Amino acid sequence: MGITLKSVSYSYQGKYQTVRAVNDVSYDFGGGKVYTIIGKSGSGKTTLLSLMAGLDLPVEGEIVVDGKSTKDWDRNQMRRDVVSVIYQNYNLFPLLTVQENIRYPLSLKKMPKKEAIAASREARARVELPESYDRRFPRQLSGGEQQRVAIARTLAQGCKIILADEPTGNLDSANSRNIVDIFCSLAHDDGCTVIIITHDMAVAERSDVVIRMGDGKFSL
Amino acid sequence: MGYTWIRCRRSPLFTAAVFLFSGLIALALGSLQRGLLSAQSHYDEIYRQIRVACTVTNLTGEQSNYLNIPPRIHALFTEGTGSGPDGLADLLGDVQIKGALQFSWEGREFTLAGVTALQADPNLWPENGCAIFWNEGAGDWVFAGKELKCLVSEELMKELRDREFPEDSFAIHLEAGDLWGREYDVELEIAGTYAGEAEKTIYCPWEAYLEICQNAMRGAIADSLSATLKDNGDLERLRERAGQWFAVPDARLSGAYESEGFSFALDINDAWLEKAQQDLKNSMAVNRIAAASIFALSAGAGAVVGFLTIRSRKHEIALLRTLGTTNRGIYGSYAMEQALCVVSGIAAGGAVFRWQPPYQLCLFAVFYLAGLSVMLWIYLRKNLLTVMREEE
Repeated sequence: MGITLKSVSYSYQGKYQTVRAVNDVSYDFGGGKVYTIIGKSGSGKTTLLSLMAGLDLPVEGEIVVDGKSTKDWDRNQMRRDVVSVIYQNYNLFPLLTVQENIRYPLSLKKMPKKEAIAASREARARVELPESYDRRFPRQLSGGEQQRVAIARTLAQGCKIILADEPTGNLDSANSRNIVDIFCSLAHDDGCTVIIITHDMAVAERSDVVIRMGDGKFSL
Repeated sequence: MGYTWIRCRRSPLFTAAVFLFSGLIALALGSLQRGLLSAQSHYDEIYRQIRVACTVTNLTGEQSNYLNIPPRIHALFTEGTGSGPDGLADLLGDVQIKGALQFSWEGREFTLAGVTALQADPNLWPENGCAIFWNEGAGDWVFAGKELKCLVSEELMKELRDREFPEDSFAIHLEAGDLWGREYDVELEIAGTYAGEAEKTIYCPWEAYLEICQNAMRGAIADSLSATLKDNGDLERLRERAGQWFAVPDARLSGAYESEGFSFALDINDAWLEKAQQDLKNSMAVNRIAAASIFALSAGAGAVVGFLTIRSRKHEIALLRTLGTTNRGIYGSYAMEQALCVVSGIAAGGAVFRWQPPYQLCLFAVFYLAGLSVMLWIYLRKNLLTVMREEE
């Protein structure tokens, strides 16, 4: 399971002008690897990642996810079942406990509560958070722990394509290493496609493929 | 439902704020409605208590005394004969009739006046300097009856005592020449005396006067006649019925003895009622406008708060969308959460005034949810990629 970009372009209306954020990008992200996209701010990385997550459609070209163009996907379903996004600011529900955050996507899949709790426990254990964290709220966790909860939520979701936008941006080096370890394990052990956007060269060095991006284009 | 319930439970301040807001709005609307109803009933009471006086006058409306009102006319006002479909007695109360006839006593001219009450003759009013002294066992009610009793002046009473007449009665002899009648004798029991202007008048109950006149002249003539409308709501019925017997007073008919077959006019003094009705209508209109404005404001406030509620949670909504929650799911979840808070708030606040006013309470809830829906619609329509870029 992977993502294929076919001459993907995207532009949006900025404050004063139309900005072409992604310009004719083609690439094939295969499964079982960790990809890192690096580039300066404004180079179009996050926009490309959002397009791959199905937050919008490209203005030109197409993105094929799991053999099907994002145009043809029910994109809500795609985000529930196939592609999962992890953000720099963790994006956890502040009013839900760790366990409830992890199993929220499962409730969207109408999974019975018991099964969902079991799946969420397994995912939490996988990111090495102790059981006592189940009843904690995000505000009671450190940044690294919150990011692990976000990853656990992705794991519980069972998505095979994981997109991470600056996942270590708010973390210290030790926590960053742990997070990258989890991503590598997901790619190498579980066959997931992991695409990470980062400025952190330490993260890039540990990935299988590094892609540079500038002015909306890939330079391999 | 689970997430909705969790959110309500774990953000107690937010939930309480919406609950309190709705409860206070319900209280405000309820008390406003209660105030309106109370004002309405107060106004109704004022309207009912205004007295509409009706006075029989000559055709010009300038004269209301010494009218020589025949029996067929004054009988319209009295219970029994005047209670038929054409009579006025069922519509009118507090009927004041006065009739009078002249007679001679000891070579001097006297007047026998029949009245339905003391109020029927201004000469008997305390404000005109008259004092009444009733004998034991008598009172104002004497005039409401039909007993042969009378009220005489202090001067006449003194004269009767001086002449050693029996003190408890007064005999009247009506000669054949008196007012085209026939000879008739009647003895009236003296029920009291009065000290006032009309010293040569003997007052007796109207019913007794009717009997005397029936025997002496085959019918009593009334000098003056007035009454008040029992129920102001019957004003139009009174006009309609009175129209069969009376003209409307018209100053242009000066000198006329008859107009369109009528010899008398009925002056219905409803000026106060009309003015009060207009004032009350105006007040109620102002109240209604004020109430409508407050209802509209509450609905508007509901819409704005509903709108702001969603605005404060746009990050949460964006996150739900990125996780693949459908728009319908998001809308259902927020609408249910807010409906729970608003409806329970309205229930608590509205119960104080027994769910009054139901229409406006529902309108508030609808507007609240409409405001919320509009904001949600705006957010859910927004491009998710743009939203996430803004969130960063």
